[in-house]
Amino acid sequence: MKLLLDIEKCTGCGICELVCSAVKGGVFNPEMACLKIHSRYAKGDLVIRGEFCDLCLECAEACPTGAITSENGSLSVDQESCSECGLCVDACPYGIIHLSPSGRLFICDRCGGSPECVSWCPHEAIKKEESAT
Amino acid sequence: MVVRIRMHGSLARHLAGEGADSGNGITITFPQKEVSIAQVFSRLRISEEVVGFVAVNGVRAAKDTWVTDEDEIAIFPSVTGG
Amino acid sequence: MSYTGKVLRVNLCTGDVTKESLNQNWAEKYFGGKGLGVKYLYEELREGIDPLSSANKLILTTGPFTGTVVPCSGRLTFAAKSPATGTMLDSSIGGRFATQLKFAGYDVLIIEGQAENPVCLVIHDDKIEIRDATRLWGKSIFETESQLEEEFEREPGILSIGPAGEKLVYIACIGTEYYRQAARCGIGAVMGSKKLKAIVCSGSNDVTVPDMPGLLKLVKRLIWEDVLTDANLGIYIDGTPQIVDMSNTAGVLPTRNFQDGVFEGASKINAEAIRRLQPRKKACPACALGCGNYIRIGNSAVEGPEYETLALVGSNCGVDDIEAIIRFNAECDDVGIDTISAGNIVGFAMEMTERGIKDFGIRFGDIETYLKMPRLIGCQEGMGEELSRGVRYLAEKYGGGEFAMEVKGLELPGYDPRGSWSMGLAYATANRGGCHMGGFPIASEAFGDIDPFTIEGKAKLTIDSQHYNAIKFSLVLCDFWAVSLETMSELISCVWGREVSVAELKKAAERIWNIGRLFNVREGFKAGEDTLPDRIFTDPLKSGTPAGRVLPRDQFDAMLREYYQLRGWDSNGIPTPEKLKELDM
Repeated sequence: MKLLLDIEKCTGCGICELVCSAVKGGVFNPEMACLKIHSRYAKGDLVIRGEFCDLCLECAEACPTGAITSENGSLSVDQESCSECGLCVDACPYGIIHLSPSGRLFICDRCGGSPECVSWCPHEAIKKEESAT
Repeated sequence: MVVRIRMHGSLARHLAGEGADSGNGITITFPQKEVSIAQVFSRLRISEEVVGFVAVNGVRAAKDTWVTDEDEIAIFPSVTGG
Repeated sequence: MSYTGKVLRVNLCTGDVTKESLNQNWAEKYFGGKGLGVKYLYEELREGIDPLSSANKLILTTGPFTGTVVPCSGRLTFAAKSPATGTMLDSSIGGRFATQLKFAGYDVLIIEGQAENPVCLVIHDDKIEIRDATRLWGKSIFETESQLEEEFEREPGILSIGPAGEKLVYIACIGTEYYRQAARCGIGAVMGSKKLKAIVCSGSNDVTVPDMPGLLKLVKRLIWEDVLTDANLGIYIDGTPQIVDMSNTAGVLPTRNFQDGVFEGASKINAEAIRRLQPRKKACPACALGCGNYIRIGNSAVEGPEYETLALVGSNCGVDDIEAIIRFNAECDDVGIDTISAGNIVGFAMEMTERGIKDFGIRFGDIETYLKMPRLIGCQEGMGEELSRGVRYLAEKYGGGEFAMEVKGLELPGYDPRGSWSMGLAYATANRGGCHMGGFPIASEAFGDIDPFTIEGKAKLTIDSQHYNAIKFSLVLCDFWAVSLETMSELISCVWGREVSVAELKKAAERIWNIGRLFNVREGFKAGEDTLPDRIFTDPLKSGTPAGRVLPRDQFDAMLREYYQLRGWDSNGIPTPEKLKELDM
């Protein structure tokens, strides 16, 4: 499953990031969200960009214990096998994998098929596209 | 009789079904010689709750005003701040 | 509860940075935002200080919902003593600073004293630095932000002032994210008097609530059933420009220095005119609506123009050229001044010139000269220096007092009280001067069902509106969400983990209103200052719905008397000891 941002619709409210960290970690913290929405005035010009897990699998490759796997178009993590080494966190090109202070790994698993970010966006700016793999 | 309606702000969407944007407004025909504003709301399928105020021929009018042929009605949404 | 429990206090005289506990007692009674800010201000300031001296404080407050997913909660509030009016001031700003302050770990930031040389305060979590900002001093707000955004990796919240704030201009504002401002009552001059050029803040901590699943369930329902509804969507679809047609039709759109309430050029500066420019929408953090209209025309860019700007800088100056209004707006945002006061002052200067009372060299509709005004005023050049002091000063010096449209020294915003008598009362009694944010009773009256041209029931209507805003802006929920008291009660009960009834909110609202009044009373304000410009009482409007009308002085006086009575204040407008006791103050 691909996640895409419609920059014509995105207002930069960040509700998606707040909900992600809330659902995954029980806290509000955009820095712990498994997606990043940039909506800012760079030198006064409005720039909107979304970063989602695009299944590059750098994290899975970096993982020494095989805790991160990919199936049915999304990642999943076996928390028991995770050694909390943090190599996946460093490997992620978007910086959207996080290790919580309690040792839990936050990774975009498409919320089991029904992404929260998609369902919460007030303006339907995040779209999901089911892919063949 | 025929009246011309302009809906402003969020209410303009309700006219979409009648084939107009809020810029031009639409005309509506009633068989009666006079109708109340409430009847106009009813015809447009909007509830009074979402309406802030109404103007008839450019002047703010009470919601129990009656309108007649060739009147222009502007309908504004309720607002909370500005 | 959702507070961090910490107040960050920075003293710019000594360089001391302290972290102290949030006063929980005050948080329970005043919540956050407007209420908590004014409470801290009242308690920490003594009477009679010079607002531009080191004795003033700049108090920045978040609210209990800041940093959570509660919709429309991402705004910051400032409190200080106003250099323009001498009253208390509370001013609110959008953008991400508030949430970043909360994620950094602070509910409140208090800035005291004055730096000797220009400084920039940098906050990241518990790392606080007071950096030299000499290299930034003199730069406009846009230049300052542009410079600072290069120096920080994260996307921090940035607050800054322009030359106007540095020069202590009474109408100076504070800017953020280029195009948002806290603008009224000279808040920018307070920051400038501390030689504080900018504050940069980012945070990486969690914000927690006692019942996360409960809150998520509640908010999800509210977003679709209570926020994205007809009552609120206008602000997303068009933004505040939707009000231009409303005001013009109701006959309250300030035109040529409030000489009339209907502007022949309204259709050139209304929501449709803005829509043609194809704005891009921008929201504050956690806002499910998104009122910001980002527009770029030539070299000028704005998030706006907002209704107030379209009114005061457009119709009030006899200008119907939307591009000229945008340019004026952009200049104000860059040099760092309030568009409401700027437009009002320029309109006054235009009328004075046309009447031959004092030649300021500018007439209604004179776009060429008008476009020079923001920089003249903000940079204190030429006649800008005098103009920047406001219409009260100008009228005292040159005359024209009958049409100096101000209350307590704050220039009036975009609603003519002759077409909305409750707004007259609201302007006269707002704690920070002639202001439409203290209470907005016109929403139910001229823009609603209630007859605008009677005083009956207006005192109660105005009080209820003031209380509604007081609690809303203390919980910190945005003006533009028509949220009911019942829903506010549901939200705060969930986030605080205890039942907070509507009755408790109403009592808190009254308390919040009264503490602002007490501040002013302590500063020596008298009932006589709860009044309106002469024009409102004596000059009939000419056009539209309120044609031929004034707000008669005797009617206003009766309305005000009833207002004091209902508020439990004495005939001098001073809260009685019994009232204060009732409010646990």
